[in-house]
Amino acid sequence: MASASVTTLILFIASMLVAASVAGVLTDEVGRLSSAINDQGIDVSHQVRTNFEIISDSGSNAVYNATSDNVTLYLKNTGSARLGSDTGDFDVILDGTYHGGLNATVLDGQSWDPGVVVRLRIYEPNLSSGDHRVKVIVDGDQEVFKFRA
Amino acid sequence: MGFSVSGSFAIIVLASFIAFGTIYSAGTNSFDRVGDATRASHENALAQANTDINVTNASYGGGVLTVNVTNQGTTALSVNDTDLLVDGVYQPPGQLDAVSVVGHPNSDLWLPEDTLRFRLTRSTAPQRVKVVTEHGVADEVVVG
Repeated sequence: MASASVTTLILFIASMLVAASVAGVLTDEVGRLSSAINDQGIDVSHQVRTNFEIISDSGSNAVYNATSDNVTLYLKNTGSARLGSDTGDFDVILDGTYHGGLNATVLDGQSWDPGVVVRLRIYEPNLSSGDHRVKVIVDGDQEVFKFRA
Repeated sequence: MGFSVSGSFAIIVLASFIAFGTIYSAGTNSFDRVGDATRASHENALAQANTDINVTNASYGGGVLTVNVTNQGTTALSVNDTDLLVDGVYQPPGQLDAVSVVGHPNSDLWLPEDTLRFRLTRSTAPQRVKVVTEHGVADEVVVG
């Protein structure tokens, strides 16, 4: 009879341990999933708030400077979120080719807040005369600008 | 044996409640955040659709470029968030002689039917000007 009680006790302790382990794993994994959902929500809401426009005058001669080999674009933040203004925050595709030689400057503020303009210079030596197309992508929002060099 | 089953079940049910509470709050927070962002985006789109400007006059004389722009839309615009490009080059606000609403020099509000006036001293006559509002709506003219 005593051995039956000890056996029962051992089985009881073992089942409690297993249940606690399962509970711990469950809460840990759900916690991780909740963090991921939170992060995803932050990313999605930032993407929805992101909006910018290329306000450069395509009819002027100021877009391409043959002396400095730069294509200069002015980007205005027309969304409701602050955007990154480092060169790594911009993806530029000029005439189908990805460009990394960028220089970005916030013109009327400390950071690229809503309503603020950023000047983006794209180094492109010996751009041929004629029609050109540049696509700028920031935080998932993309704008296309066509001009004549 | 009976009590161990009940005890285990109780522990797992308790953990399930905690897990559900955690994931429910994360889900509702994310949903609210995305909902707020969507509403802001829709309001921006509506404001953009209701925005219209017209550069009524752009003249150069005595070394000064003067540009008059009328708010022909139905939204209140911001003077500080309105930009001027002269011959495709952005003019920083600090380099302008003056930019203000006619009749309301200290106001940042550019209301419907108000005229916004830019003045800029330049050594050479420009060929074209472009005015861009905070929503990206723009107008451009050749300088007369």
